[in-house]
Amino acid sequence: MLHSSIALIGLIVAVFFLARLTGDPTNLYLPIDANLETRQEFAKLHGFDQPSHVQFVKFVKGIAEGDLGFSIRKQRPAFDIVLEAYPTTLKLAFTTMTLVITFAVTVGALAAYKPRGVFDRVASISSLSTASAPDFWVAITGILIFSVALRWLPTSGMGDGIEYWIMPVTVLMLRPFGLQVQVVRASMLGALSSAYVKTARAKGVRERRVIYVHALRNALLTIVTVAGDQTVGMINGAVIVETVFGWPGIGKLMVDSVIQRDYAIVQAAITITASAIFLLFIIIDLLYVALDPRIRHR
Amino acid sequence: MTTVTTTPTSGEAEAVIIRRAQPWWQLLWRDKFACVAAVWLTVLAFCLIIGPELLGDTATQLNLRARNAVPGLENGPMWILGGDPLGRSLLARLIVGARNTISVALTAVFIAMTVGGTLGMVAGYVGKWVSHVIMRLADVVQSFPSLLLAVIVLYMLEPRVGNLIIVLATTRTPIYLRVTRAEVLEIRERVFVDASRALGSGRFHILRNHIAPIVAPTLLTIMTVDFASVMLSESGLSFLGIGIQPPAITWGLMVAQGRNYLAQAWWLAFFPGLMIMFATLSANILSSWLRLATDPVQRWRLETHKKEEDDK
Amino acid sequence: MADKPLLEVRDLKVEFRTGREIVKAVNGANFTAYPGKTLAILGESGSGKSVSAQTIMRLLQIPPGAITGGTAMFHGVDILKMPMDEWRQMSGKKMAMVFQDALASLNPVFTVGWQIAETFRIHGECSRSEAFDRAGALLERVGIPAARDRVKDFPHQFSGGMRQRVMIAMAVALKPDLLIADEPTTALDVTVQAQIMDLIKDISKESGMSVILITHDLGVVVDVADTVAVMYAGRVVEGGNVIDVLQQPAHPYTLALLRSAPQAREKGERLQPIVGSPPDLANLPTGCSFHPRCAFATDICRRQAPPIKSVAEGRISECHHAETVHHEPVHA
Repeated sequence: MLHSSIALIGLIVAVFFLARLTGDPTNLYLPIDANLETRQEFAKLHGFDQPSHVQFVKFVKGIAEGDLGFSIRKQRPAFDIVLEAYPTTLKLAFTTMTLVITFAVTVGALAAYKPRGVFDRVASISSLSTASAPDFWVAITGILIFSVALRWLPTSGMGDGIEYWIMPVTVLMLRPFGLQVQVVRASMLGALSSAYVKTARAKGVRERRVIYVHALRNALLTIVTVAGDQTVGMINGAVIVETVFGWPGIGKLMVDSVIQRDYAIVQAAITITASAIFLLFIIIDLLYVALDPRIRHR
Repeated sequence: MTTVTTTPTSGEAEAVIIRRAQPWWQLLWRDKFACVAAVWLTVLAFCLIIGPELLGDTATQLNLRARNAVPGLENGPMWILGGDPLGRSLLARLIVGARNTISVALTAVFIAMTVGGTLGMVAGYVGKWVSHVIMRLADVVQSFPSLLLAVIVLYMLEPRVGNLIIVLATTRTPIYLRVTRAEVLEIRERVFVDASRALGSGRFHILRNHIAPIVAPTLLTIMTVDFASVMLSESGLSFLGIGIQPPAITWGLMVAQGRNYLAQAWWLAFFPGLMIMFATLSANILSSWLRLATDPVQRWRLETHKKEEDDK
Repeated sequence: MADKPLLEVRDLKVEFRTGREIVKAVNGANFTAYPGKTLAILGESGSGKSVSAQTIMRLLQIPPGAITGGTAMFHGVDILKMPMDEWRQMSGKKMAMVFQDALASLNPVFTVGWQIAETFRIHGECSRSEAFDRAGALLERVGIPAARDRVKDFPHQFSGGMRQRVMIAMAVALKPDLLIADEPTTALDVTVQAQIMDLIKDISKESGMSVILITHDLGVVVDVADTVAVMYAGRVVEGGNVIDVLQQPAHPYTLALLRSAPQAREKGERLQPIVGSPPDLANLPTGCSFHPRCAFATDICRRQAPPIKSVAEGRISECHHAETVHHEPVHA
């Protein structure tokens, strides 16, 4: 936990100073063609003319008070804009991760049961394929097939109907699913060839129970670790998926802000995302303690 | 006690099996998927090295008759995959794009491996304090989503190829760092290093002659997976418009450009994406084969004949 | 030895197949366990003793392993040919096993009470709460202090010796007719080893349970076994009553083992290590597998596999020169 808080602080500091190091911060906020006068006026208004350490103190104070800067383009506090975008991304990420874990555990466990069997080969190749597929390409190919050609699903936008969710969730699932299947398979193989599984078989435990109780319960430790990393990585996928499908989430907000050069929002988004990741790491640590008695008693 | 020594009995069966290794090409030949993957990567390497020179200016040559040409042979063999809105051959552009796409990914992975491997060895071999600083830095980089990090840094810096490579390499470095450090910590406790130290070898000698050869296969396996994921990241960034900028061509950029013509000329976005997928898939297949081939306990799975596997 | 055998293993053959070669781990092993008696299978690593035990318990990983021949008659049925479903009902109930490394052999994420209770539960013996009660009683029986409180502890919270006691409790939970103990004390401290062997001996006496003890330790054989089977290169090369075999071995390998063992040494005598190295199981020597390391080897040993000879009442030896060896003094 100490490690992740150091990481959190390090990242926020890095974002602040990187922006100053790259030269005139007004470059980051204003259109490239802004004239000198506008720049100076802007710098004065936002305190960019002051020395870096003064600005940094102001920046940290701001974070403590929940003030993460002001979006000039949108004329609103950046914090509010970012918070509005978050629920969309969280809903998308939560749905996706739930499906990823459910499917990956089922497929990975079945594949590990008979290594190199027919099912294992099919599972291996398909999980490798989904892990290798460029998500943006699958997304637009999906739009091409299901929206343009077949007219079954909407091309973009977020709605309440399930038809709006199918493509974004599927595309977002691809990579984590592919990786997780392989993780589940490998850790199940490890568990199934372990000595304690031999003991269970010698006791007369049926194969189904050996797999789903004795082996899976141990494999879960690895699965949870990977799932945690993948949840963080969801943001990567969300950037692409939200952009392609036009979902008003944090990923699209960030890309839009980068393209429109709205640095206040980018900075606020990073700060909040880093805090969210920090929280997530704490949850994973707690989950890990709950799952592994060896850590609990140390 | 007794002089009849024994190794742990549970490992006895495994110990008998793994003694004699087959040469790697025989193992590769056994696994048909890995074989196809290796062949495909060789073809790509060929495109990378001499492809653009072989093509001359075919990739930039305008051909008005072949504007948005449908894939097929009507406009000649170079237009088999169709033409773009300016009538340029898609196949030729894919081959030229291969050089940019693959060389960016390869360079980034190579830098990440070198920097990460070196830092990892340092972190594993020097005092606690330096090691601590290195590891915390790795934490900072690793705990944040890599694509997001790249988006932000490329926003603040200019989206030039050099910057792109540095950003991609930075996000991948922690993995090599951790793996190398873990291996170094384990290996340096082993007897032969002690023996070597007792004979008066310096740290550098031990790192180079004892530790590097053992860490190398693991790093190579990671490099192949990483090559795939860096290529996906670069394509993603180029697709978003913050990676490689036109007029340079990469597959990711080609997908982005083709997206505008999705309804009229689907092939413009489809084939570049397919190229990305085949390349990453090949790298992934090869790396999982490598992992199996370098793991003595699992290696029999590659050596056993198919027929025998089906009894049970 | 007039008793009816409990487990009779005949001509057991087990191979491991890899792409290039076939490793013959067990090459026609014969041994018999009698009710209430302890049979020790003695051999160095790679002799096939452990693979034989796992094959009988149907724990062999197939592939790469394969049973290529032989029978194992238990209660009048060949358990090697029994359908897996049927065997799982018998395994743990009629025949149980204790492994070498108790820490690895206990599931790290479940309490020991849960793991013992599972044995009762899966064989449909009793309800959940009763199973836990019986688990506590068993832990008490195997000598774990404050057993009733420790059922809720996890394997890593026990010491090495205590963990092996837990393993034994789990194995004997349903009072099996036969317990296979695969090097149960190898991973333990010397002082604890004796306690664990005593515990197995006690339980066996108490319930009339047979024990097959897989070991490389002559001392353990002398202490607990009634009969012994000496394995070399996947075959039982000598068998019989423990006292007889160890006092007058009839196979050169047994003789060499005794001469190299510190326990059997008389004052001032020098240990004689066995010359040569264990056989390559993928390329076994022609004739008698032991001939390259044997002091008695003659031409016939290189050409022809030795027959099974009976050298005395209940004593067998697979050696062309069994009679000569039999009259050789152990302490030269």
